[in-house]
Amino acid sequence: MAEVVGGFLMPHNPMLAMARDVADRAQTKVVFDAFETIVQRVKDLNADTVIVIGDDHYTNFGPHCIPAYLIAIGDVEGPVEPFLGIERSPIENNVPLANHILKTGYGEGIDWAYAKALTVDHSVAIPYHLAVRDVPGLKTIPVYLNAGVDPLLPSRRAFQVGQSIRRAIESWEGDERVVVYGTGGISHWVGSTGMGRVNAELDQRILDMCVAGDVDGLIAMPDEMVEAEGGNGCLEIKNWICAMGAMPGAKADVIAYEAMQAWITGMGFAELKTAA
Amino acid sequence: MSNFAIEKLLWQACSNPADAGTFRAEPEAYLNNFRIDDEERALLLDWDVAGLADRGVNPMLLMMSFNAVAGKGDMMEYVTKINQPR
Repeated sequence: MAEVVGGFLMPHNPMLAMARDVADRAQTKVVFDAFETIVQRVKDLNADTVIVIGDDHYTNFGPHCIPAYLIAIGDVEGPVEPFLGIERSPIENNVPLANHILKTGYGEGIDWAYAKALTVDHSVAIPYHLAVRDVPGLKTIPVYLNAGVDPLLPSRRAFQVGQSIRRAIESWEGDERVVVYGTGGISHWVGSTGMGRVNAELDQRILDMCVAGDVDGLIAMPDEMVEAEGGNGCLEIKNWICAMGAMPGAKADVIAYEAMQAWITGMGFAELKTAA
Repeated sequence: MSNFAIEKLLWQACSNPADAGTFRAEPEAYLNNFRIDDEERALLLDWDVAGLADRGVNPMLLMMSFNAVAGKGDMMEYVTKINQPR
């Protein structure tokens, strides 16, 4: 039986690719060391598939169609944004498992949108480049939640999507060892008034809730409050909540946190661990 | 006020380099393709991103479209505009 063997929370800040030399050197080292720590942990867990949970930035999906939550069930490549400076290349999906997650969802009221051919944006491409491609054989199933274009996916629904992903994995006939990545956050203002701010106090509060395993507390945070205190980019904690839905009872071990002024983002990393 | 139309025209400019080029070279002609009123047209012609954001236009789209059409490659130019005193 396939199983979820681990989970991780991490940023997907495009600055990691397009402006890696503009930030404080010590902070930059902490951040890239954190990605290396995740890579090593995923190797230790013998994972062969990762579900990368990100959100579109009004890039792939436009005003004509904005999926609440979407899974890529076919061909994947990326990134879509030339400004990242990353050459677009294929990303190997786990097609059978992705389709099983879709169909399992359909059977229990999780009405996925899906992509048969997807060119991912930085929310999947950055984690892929920094925390996937260095793990030999690790296949990538991209999941997109609408955490960026109002009206947003409710956080409770993000959690339920994560729960459905776990049930699908546990009912799959294969023997995959799956890790989930909740990406994005923490505080940052993406194009909105306040851009440039970082709210380290809020970031710590959110990380503390993850450490306590208080996913109900995270879900209960009103979007309006999250956006006011942490910026529109902080709404990406919905991706974290989804990952926590796939890791019931998990508590986070913080790997690193840096308030990166030059990258206009509070950069948080954690591993989700369930009691043995 | 139609943020729907504004987001449509901005998204098209972000997604299609030809549309971005038309918006840059002939902004009046580009905007004529969309159902916006005079006030909206003025905000867009001025690239008043703060004013547009205050009216509820998606800020990620404002940032990307400004950089695609009107920006000079310096992100701080946008940061200054979006944070201008109201």
